[in-house]
Amino acid sequence: MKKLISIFLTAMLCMSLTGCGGGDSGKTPSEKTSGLTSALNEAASSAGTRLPEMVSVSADTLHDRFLIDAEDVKDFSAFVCGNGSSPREYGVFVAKDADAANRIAEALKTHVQIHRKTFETYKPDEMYKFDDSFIELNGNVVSYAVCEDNEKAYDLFK
Amino acid sequence: MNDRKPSNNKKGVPIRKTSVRPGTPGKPNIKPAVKPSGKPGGIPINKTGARPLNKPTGKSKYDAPKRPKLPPAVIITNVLMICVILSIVGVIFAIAMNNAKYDKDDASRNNRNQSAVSSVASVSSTPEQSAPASNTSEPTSNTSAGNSTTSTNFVPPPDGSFDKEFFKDDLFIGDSIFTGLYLYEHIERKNVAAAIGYTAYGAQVSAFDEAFYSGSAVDYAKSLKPKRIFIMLGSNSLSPKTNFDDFENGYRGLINALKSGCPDSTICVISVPPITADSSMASYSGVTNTIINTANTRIKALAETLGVMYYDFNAVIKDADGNFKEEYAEQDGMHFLGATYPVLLSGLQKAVGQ
Repeated sequence: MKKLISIFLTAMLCMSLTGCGGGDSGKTPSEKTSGLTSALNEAASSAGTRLPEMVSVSADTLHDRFLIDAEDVKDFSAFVCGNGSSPREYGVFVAKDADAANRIAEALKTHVQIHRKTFETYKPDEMYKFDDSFIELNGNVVSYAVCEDNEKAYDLFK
Repeated sequence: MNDRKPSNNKKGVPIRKTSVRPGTPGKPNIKPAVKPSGKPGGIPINKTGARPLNKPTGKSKYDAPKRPKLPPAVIITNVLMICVILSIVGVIFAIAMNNAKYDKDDASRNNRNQSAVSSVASVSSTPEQSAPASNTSEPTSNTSAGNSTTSTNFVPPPDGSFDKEFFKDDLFIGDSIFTGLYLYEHIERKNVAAAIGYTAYGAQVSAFDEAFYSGSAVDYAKSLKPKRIFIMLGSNSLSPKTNFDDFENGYRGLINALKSGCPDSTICVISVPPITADSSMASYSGVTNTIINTANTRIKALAETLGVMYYDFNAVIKDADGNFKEEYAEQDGMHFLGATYPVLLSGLQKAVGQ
């Protein structure tokens, strides 16, 4: 009897520990984007440059901004430049299921294509931010970034 | 053989020996008791080395009772139960912290208007009546302070406070700068027809956001029939090679199209914003504040001719040298910081609310 209790409690312990995870790396989308924001701000501060102001995308504007259906999204965090001065954007989306994740990835792909086309003629000096930009689909998690350090974004979002 | 008696009584209890010494009056003559010469708690051994009367058993009724040992399984079970309880508490705490963080994010987003309003710098220009419109194409500095309109009513300077509900039936037509109105959530998305790179001519013929609405800003205005229409365009049309007649014609076409399609709407044209002295965006296009001032002179005159309002926002956001104030300017020296929008909306509300 005592052995059975011990085995049962051990199983409960393992289940409760795994329940604490918030994503494929254990971090929530908000934590991932905050980490990138901090890293980019730090790099800019060290270089003595100023970054454009970013604004957090709310659930109400998901469709307006990215053509993403809010019903497909379980959790997300995304930031865009708030005033059209830069193509800087990045975000992490946790989809409700694999199909939703695919739809989110496709929507982001279309969005980034339009975004690139807009800034090609509007601000050519900002086009370098599209170099190495990515849209990554990993299970139910979709992440993307168009910024000055896409490699850093990829490392932090994976 | 030693015939000294053992120093204990019949029951085996050691008897303490004391000796008395002559002492000084008032002081006790008691020497400290001599310790029994044996192990603490053990059976005293007399000094002669003779065997004690009782055989040592290793146990004494004076020994502290030993605590019973728990079986290993019970110990493991107890440890596991403690770990489970701590894990559950940790999960609950993490969930609570997460919810608190989201609540905080929502609250900060909902209060963004208030915080932006409270942090905006106060207007330094003094309110004056608008100067007479000039039809000359010579560069003129737009020094009219306060809020110039076609009327001569006094308009108080903006203080950054505005009522979002005031604009719920209005339409804002503009370029990338106006996209910030809904991105910063100062104005609802449906009340903004703005696009990166938009011009006065483009607003008549080109879609501003095909994913949102397939037609042009003018088409959208006709479908919306807004109460008021605010226009801020021109930044993407100006360069050292600008033909100001063509520029004015583009604006005229836009205003006339809106007047025709929305006859009941009040139209208000806003000045083309200035640039900072070191604007990177402007250096790319070659635009200067002199060129912008000329454009605004033409727009203001056109507004008066067509009978629509003109709001001189530049009087609020320019410094003494005629450059865009750094506290309102994005890092490219041309776009608005988030805190600039409440200043604009506050000024507009005061200007059209008169």
